[in-house]
Amino acid sequence: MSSRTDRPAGALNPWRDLWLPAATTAAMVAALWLVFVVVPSERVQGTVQRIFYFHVHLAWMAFGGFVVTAGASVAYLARGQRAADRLAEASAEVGLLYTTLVLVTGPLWARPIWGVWWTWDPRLTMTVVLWAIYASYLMLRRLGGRDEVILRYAAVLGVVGVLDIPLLIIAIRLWRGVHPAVLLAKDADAGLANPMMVQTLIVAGVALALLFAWLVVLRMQFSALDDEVEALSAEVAA
Amino acid sequence: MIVAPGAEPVAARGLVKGFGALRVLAGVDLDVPRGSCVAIVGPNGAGKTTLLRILAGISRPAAGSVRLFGHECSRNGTPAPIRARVGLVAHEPLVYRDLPVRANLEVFASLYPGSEGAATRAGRALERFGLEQVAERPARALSRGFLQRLALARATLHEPELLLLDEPLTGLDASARERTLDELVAHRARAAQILVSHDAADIAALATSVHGFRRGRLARLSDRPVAESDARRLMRDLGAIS
Amino acid sequence: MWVILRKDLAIERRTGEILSSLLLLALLMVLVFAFTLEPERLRDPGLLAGLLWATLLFSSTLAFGRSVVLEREAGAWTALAMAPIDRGAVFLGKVAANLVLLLGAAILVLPVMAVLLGTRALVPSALLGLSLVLGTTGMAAAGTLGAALASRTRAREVLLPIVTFPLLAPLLIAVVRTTAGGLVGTPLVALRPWLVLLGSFDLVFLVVGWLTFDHVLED
Repeated sequence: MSSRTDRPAGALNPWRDLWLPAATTAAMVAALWLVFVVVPSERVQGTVQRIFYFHVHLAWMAFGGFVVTAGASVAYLARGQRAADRLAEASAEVGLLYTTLVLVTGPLWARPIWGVWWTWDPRLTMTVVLWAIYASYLMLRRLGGRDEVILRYAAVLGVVGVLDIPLLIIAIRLWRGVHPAVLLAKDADAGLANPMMVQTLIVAGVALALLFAWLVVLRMQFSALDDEVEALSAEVAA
Repeated sequence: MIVAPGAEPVAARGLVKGFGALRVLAGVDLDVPRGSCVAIVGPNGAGKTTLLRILAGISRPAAGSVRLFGHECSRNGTPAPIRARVGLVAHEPLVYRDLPVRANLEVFASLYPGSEGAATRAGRALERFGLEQVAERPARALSRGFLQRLALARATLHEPELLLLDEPLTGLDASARERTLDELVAHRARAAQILVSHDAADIAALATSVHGFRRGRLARLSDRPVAESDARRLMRDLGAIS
Repeated sequence: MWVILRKDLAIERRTGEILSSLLLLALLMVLVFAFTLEPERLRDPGLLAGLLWATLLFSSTLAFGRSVVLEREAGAWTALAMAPIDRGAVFLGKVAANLVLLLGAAILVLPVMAVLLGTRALVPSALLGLSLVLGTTGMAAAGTLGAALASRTRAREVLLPIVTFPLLAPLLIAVVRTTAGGLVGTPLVALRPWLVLLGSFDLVFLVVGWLTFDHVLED
């Protein structure tokens, strides 16, 4: 009664199961080594500044992840391919993980530098609202269960969520005043002071990007396996 | 209408529907010519309701094609002029429980184009299914039989050329049942019908052919009307009734 | 679209349940505010604007949830999807009906809140009216879409606010500013960027809802 794709989702795929994990591990080890051992501390902020090598990348990759979710959602609404939906879900989950890490690493840095854990700074406000939008996206999927309609509803929400972002940026800018991007600019300037800092920033970026890709691929495989299990158990029951 | 008058009301090929690899429909073919009533039987969960929903244009197949009145409908959804020619009697009455019977019919009549006003068409539907006495009562307060009559009246308001019937006679008393059967047989002569039912008597009274669901596919069981006892036997073979 | 609007209003006229529960809940929220925040501190018009929109946000959830249940409970939604009308128009009709109820509630609740909370120096203005209209329109559009998306799940009452509140964040930030300005007689031009933002929010959600409702109505 059920028919499966020719290639089972569990079959070994050298690119996915060997090269990507190996490259991610290597890059991550290199990044950690650079961040904690090699690179000198920034003069003004001290040791805690090292968190920024990860923090910055986490933030923009989380953002990028949500854009991928929106794109995949549009593709799913247009063509209805299962793979597009899997990509949308995986990217939102990993994006949410990265956003969470942004929200954890941010205060860790802010406490010693700004003297507070949290402030309603435009970037922070933005991040926390984005976190809520995508948490609700995943909540809809979780509570909806195995239902084709829910996939489509989630895709609509994925698109709406990303369209909300520009409105959010404008609102927050107007609200808190144009907060100059001093922090990043200053950090980047400081980073330029030592070429090692730039190299560290790049390596950390590569490591986090590979990790993002690997997690997304794993998550997509997991959801394909999940479908197969469901189909097999239906076959057994029939 | 944009479509040739001779085009077959339903021509479905290789319909597939299901979540991921789990398939409710695994390649369904179905043809419904004008003037016929095709009965579809099968156990619960076999895909009968899913098939009706696809033909009604409220659900899209994962693969396969649906042609309604010669018009391809599965890829980009059923276009409005084709939707105007299809009617559905489902498990639920598909009405507003807080609105009175007449208001319900008027709301839905006004969604369909027609040469006469919505009120006139709603009035005629009331009459056809004997709903005049409960016309001002909210649907919430109706008995099961009257609610089913309302569902039938709503589904046939716009004189659909393709009528999809999911257990259309449930809850009707003997006289309402007779009257409805007459209406449906008269309707069949100028249109096409698909009947999903577990009731051998309904099938014997209405169907001009019988199809059965087996493992997500549809097989032709009889291409002429069947007697009640034959209908019962066909359904028992499929495990549709015990 | 007008058929859907008229139909929803006819149902509301018969039952009255949405408007009455909106108003009652809003009144209760005023009491809650008075008890939890010191009444003396609530006289600031800026605070009134914030409390008004918080009240509308929470009570509107109720209205949107109810308005989808009306469509779902006996399957009328399916009949709408089958009707030969633009499905986007179904969305706009539902938004219009929700807007009428929400705006009505806002107009009734605002003076009651102002009186009970003893707000000082009220200067009703065109800006206030514009804020109410633009704010409730956006809320109705995002809320109607959110309610439809949440309606398939078991936990729709929980999911509805979870889905709509974060989406409404930009609207809330903007509308509270313009409403506060409207209450104290700030000239309209001073808040123009905010009003443009509100208008864009309304437009984005109306258009997106209109375009995607085809997918939402189908099963």
